[in-house]
Amino acid sequence: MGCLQCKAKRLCPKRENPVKLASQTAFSVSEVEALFELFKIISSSLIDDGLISKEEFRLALFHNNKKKNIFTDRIFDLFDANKKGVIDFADFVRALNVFHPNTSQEDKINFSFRLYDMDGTGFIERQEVKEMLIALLSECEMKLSEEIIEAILDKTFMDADTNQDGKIDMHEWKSFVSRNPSLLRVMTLPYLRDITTTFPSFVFNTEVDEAATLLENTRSG
Amino acid sequence: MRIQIEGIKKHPWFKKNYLPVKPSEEEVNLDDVRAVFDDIEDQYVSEQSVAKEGGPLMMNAFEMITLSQGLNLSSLFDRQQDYVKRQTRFVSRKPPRDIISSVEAVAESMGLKVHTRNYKTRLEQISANKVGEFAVVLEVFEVAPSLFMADVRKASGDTLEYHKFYKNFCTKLENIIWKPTEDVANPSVLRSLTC
Repeated sequence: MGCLQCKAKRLCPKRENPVKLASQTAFSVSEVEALFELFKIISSSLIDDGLISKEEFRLALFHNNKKKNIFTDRIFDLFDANKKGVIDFADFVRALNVFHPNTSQEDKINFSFRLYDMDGTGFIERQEVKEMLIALLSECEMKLSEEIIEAILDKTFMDADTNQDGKIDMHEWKSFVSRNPSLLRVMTLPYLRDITTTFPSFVFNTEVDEAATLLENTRSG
Repeated sequence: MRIQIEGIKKHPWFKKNYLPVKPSEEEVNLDDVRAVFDDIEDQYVSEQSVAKEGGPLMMNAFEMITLSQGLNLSSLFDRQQDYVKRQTRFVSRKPPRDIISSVEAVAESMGLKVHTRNYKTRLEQISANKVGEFAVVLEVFEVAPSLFMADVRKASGDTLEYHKFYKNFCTKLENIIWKPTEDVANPSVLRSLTC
């Protein structure tokens, strides 16, 4: 019972089966195993409980768990699918799946919309964009005047907010992104293709091994 | 007179998608290198790809937002635990062509090789013994009327050397870097703020 057995087996009853996760995502079973290696590093950095807290997430991204960043916090919230306040391994794999190079543009567009719709109203409001822009400028230590910030927002909303109602809806966002594809650049992590090289997993569970071979044979067949 | 090699190298036909052959480096990350010359913008027809009068690309609020370190999840895969600020940029009120030529001049005076295409320039520090080599990409964007941002990224090579270079580089570019003070509103700028 409990974690002692989990650690010995390398397969925790609460952790979803890697084969199942692989079948639901763009990752292969060995890639899911490699992601688990990464997950273990991040989730044990402050408290070794098999879960990633907000501080551990910040630590992984900035190597500094005190550094508050509205974007990191927002991404954390999106990873934490059931609003538990922590990210478990299934959350981790499913969220990173969106960033996989093979994932559809549609999924990436949806994720990015939810990312910027900080209060979850279903619209990206001008005030939200202003807040994010100010956060970015502060991060870059670039001071721009209120007038310039408003001018940047005016121009952006003129481009994106086609019905000029002061907010960007999903339809407008899709159209805007198709005209500005570089906006989706942050939504793809090429590193995910090399994950088994960066985080090789040397420990295999025999159950997973057989199923993995079966699955990979089916895939390559 | 027949075109010489230099002439061929300067020709836009040659420069399109051209990546000079380099000896392999220890830390080369091909994704960064590809990102330099294979911008997503080049793969799609973009309304912005040729900005007004052939000027630099316009950066809207969202493009600026995507510059945030907080949105760059590739740091999750960093095995190194020592944090070095990776993104470096500055703003300028000088015309973009002047920004580019100043950058080129300073880089050349620092012994770097320079290669410019439109408003994007690639600077390379080559060393005979391959130690401390790095490549930098600098791109100028328009952020607001008469306000430009130079986004500077390390494309490959030694991170420490890159940051040493960047510090030195910015000191030499003081005359084009704009450091706004608290009361920033410039009347002449405000007058031209009709997009």
